[in-house]
Amino acid sequence: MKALLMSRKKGFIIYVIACFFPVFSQLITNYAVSMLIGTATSGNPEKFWQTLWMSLLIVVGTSLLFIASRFMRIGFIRDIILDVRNLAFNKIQTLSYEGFSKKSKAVYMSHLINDINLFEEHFFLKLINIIFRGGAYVASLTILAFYDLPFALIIMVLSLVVFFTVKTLEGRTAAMQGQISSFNEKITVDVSNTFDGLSLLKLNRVEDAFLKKNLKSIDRLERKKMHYQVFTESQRNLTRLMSSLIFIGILLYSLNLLNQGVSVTQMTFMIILANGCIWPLEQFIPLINELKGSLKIFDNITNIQEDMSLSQVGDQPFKFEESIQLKDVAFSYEDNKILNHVNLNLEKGKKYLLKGPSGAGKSTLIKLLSQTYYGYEGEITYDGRDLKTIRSRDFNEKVAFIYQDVFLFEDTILNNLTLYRDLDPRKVSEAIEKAGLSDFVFSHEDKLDRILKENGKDLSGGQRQRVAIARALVKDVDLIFSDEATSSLNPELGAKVEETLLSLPCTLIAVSHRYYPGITEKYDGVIEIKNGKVHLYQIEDYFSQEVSVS
Amino acid sequence: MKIILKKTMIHLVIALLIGIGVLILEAMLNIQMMKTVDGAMAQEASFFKLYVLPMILITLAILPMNLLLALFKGRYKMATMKNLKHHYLTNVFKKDIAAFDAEHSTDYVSTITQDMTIVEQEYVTGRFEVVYQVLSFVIGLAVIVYVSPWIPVVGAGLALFVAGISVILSKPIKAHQKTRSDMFHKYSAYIQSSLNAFHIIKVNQLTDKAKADFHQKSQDIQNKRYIIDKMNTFIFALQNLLMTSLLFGMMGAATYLTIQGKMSFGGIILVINSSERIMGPIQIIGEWIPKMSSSKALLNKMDDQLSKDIQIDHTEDKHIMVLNDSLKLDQVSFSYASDQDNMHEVLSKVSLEIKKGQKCLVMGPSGGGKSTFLKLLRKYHNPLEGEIYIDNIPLSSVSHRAYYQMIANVEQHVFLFEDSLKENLCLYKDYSEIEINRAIVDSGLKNLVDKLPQGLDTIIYDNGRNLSGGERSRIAIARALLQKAQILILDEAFSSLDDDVAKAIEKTLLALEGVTLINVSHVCFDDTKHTYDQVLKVAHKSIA
Repeated sequence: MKALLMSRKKGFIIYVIACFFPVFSQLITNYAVSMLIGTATSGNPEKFWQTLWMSLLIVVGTSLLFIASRFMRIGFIRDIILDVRNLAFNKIQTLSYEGFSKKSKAVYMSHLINDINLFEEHFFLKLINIIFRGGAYVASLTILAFYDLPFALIIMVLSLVVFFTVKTLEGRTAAMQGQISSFNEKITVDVSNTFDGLSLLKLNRVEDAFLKKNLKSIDRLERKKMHYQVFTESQRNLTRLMSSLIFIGILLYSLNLLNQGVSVTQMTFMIILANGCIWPLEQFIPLINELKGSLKIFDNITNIQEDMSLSQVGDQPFKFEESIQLKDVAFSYEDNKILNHVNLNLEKGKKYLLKGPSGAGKSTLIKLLSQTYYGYEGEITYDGRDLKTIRSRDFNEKVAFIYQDVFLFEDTILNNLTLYRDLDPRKVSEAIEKAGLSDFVFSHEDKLDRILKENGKDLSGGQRQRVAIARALVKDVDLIFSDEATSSLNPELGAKVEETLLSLPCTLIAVSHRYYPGITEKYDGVIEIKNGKVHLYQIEDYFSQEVSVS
Repeated sequence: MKIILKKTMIHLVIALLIGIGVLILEAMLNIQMMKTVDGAMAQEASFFKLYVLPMILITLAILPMNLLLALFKGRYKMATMKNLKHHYLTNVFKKDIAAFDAEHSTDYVSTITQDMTIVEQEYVTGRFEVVYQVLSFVIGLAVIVYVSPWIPVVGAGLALFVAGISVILSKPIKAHQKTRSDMFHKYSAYIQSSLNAFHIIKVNQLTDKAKADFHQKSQDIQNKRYIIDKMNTFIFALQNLLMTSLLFGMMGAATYLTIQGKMSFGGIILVINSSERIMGPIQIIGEWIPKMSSSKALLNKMDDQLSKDIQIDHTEDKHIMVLNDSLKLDQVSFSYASDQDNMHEVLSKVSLEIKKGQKCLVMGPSGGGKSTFLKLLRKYHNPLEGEIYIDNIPLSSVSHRAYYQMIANVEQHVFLFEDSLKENLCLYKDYSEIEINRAIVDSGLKNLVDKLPQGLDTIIYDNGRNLSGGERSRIAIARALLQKAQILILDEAFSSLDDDVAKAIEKTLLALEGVTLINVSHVCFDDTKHTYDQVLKVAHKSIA
């Protein structure tokens, strides 16, 4: 963070200076209050009016100072937050896919949105508050010391006493808070488990026992929460009592000064300053903790902690003329064995359908075959060449992916289809035609130059999927991996697209839950994954087994 | 939900009464402070005993009163939240299965965790705070009137002026906030889709393009923020200016009255102290009201969630205990409402009969209507046309509870909960040890039970994360065996078992005498298929 702030050194210096403006404003306002009250005992109305007008002038002045201070700060804040956003995004983009998929996307989402927003809300707010309060504390004590040194010292000691008292009570609060939040988590897990199984519970008529159990833990939580609330409020009341007594002391001491010939203005000013010195130290600690918290967020979202050994870079050219072979391939994901001793031989030009229950590893197999996951045991070869030694750039040139999630750039349809490559226009229109996108593209006057706005917000799920299919078709590839390519299309169109994919000369490895009568049978083979094992069936054998009865 | 809130009104009233006590003590302290200042200025004799001592005593008395307030405030919140959560959870549990499944179960979870927290922090607490602040305002005003009736008039005039200006000023900010929040929605959507496309971006070497796009969008967001900040600067400055002027106005008025001899010097101190108590509440109430009204919407949402029950158009007054003859489907059709009021028909005019004790295998491709068939059999839904008969009694007229007593289910997804393995098998019902052991052996669970150090008493933690898919399926089968239900419905029960184990269990199930078995499965074994009495194929909206 320091490096980032220093990269805009000038802006940062101006920012810090601006943070001191409110200190000055506060002191001068307080002095104006004291002077105004001071006129009360003078019995001189003329002096009163004079002071009142002067005070209003000061109020206007501090408002102008406020404007100046903010203008010196907000531009700097804008630039820094933008830097943070870019840093966080770039960090994610430099990850390898394997590193990327170690965490769920929700984590990155919360980094890029919630965490940065939190940082934006907190970091600068806490920083200015620390500077302001610290400045005000030091300035007030200095002025008090100038008036009355022993008094200033006593006030400083009292503020330390308040500070340590609050600090000692803090430990207990934090412990209680921890208890509540772990309790809360447990309830969330319990309730969501119960809801997941509610239909089963009802079928077995045991829902009442579970309701009772859940209600009981809710009661326990609420009671704990009440204890916590009562405790923290009592604690607050105790410190409030302490500060009230201190204030009474300050008041009596200052009133006594009056008898020694100190002016009412000075007395009032001293009361205000002294009273303002009691609390800042106590408020300082949470502020600093919160500042540290936002710094932690910053480190968390901008530091790369990836094991770089995961990504391998090969330098062999890619060739796929004969077959893909898997020899004794095993893959685990977080202690879960997903694939176990898989041996498989896939031939060029054939179409394979991947089947298996959800979570069995269909998508994983695709990722292993496509240089996306490297952390497997055994060997995967294309035409006898180890996949790990093949240059990724070459590989990706000759391979296409069709996924359910389709990313659209805010750019022309053409660029979205070619993904910024120079391709033969005939090839593009052919792909559009085959993917069933003609109506969508050519019904609009801008045709291929039409800009898709906001990530294709107006495109239906089906249209987006067709864009993904067209992207694959437009590329002259040897191998297509498709994961539920037709799932959001209506059955007629799905069948048509599936037929197109099956008629291409390239090899196809597809996951699909859809069954298109008369078309699905055109696949050459079915790869079935079940319990970590993989079987390769001829299509006739697979379906005769499934629906052999009729 | 609002009726539930009324139930805890008494707690709220008690807490507020104690609150009044606190406020009165604080007002007394203020007045005593004024007297002390005046006493000191007049250099009265026995100053300490007359003024200082009472002041300290009042200060000390505030503490126990405040502690009492904290206690009763806590009790009010606890009672209210307990009631709300009980009401919600009980009613969710009361829903029938089809109505419950109509919504994602995470919706219910987020309601009872996140939404309830917001309701507590903003609505339940708000109800107390708003009334308390109003009381504080009234009492603070009364104290000032006690010293001088003129000052509140000046103050009220100025305050109204300030409030009016604030309302006018907040309008443009709100509009900008709204645009920014819209921008943020789009920004989030963009980030999400770009994360989803991580792989596509990588393999097509589009990282730089993605970075540039992101930079552009982030810059737009930050610039918008900058514009709002700039505008806010002037608005805040004006608000500050007005508030501080108001304070000076009040103080000026007090000082002027003192000069005129209409008020004592201590009165100024009192006015300063009390004006905080008047202006504070105005600001605080202003913050609470919008929070309360937005969280009220959450309460309404909860009511909606609970009331969304499927209308029961059948009277369910038949209680059957035993299946004597057969289960029959007569011209049964079923459709789901898909988008745009289109009905998507899944089953069309299906007729079939399963005799008591028959073993029946149901097969078909995914999407063919198997799961709908199961839902009808389990009475989640009633057929839209036609009727299912159980011993010639329409199933739609049979009560859920009675029917559920007759059937047992084994599903692919096995629900486990945190309790002993035994309770996970028995589902809190009493069975003899012999019965339990038998079910364990027949379902192939023996190995697992022997392997566990505490056997049947082992607690299943964390949704049974350490159990394999096969072990979970066996638990489900053991449950069904224990229940000795007359109709056993299996839904892909063998899909995560090894072939040998699956065949062994299948054999046991097929040998259960008098039990009607309906096994819905994706794949079957050629060599055991013939042992079923009936094989049905579900495809193209029909079952044959």
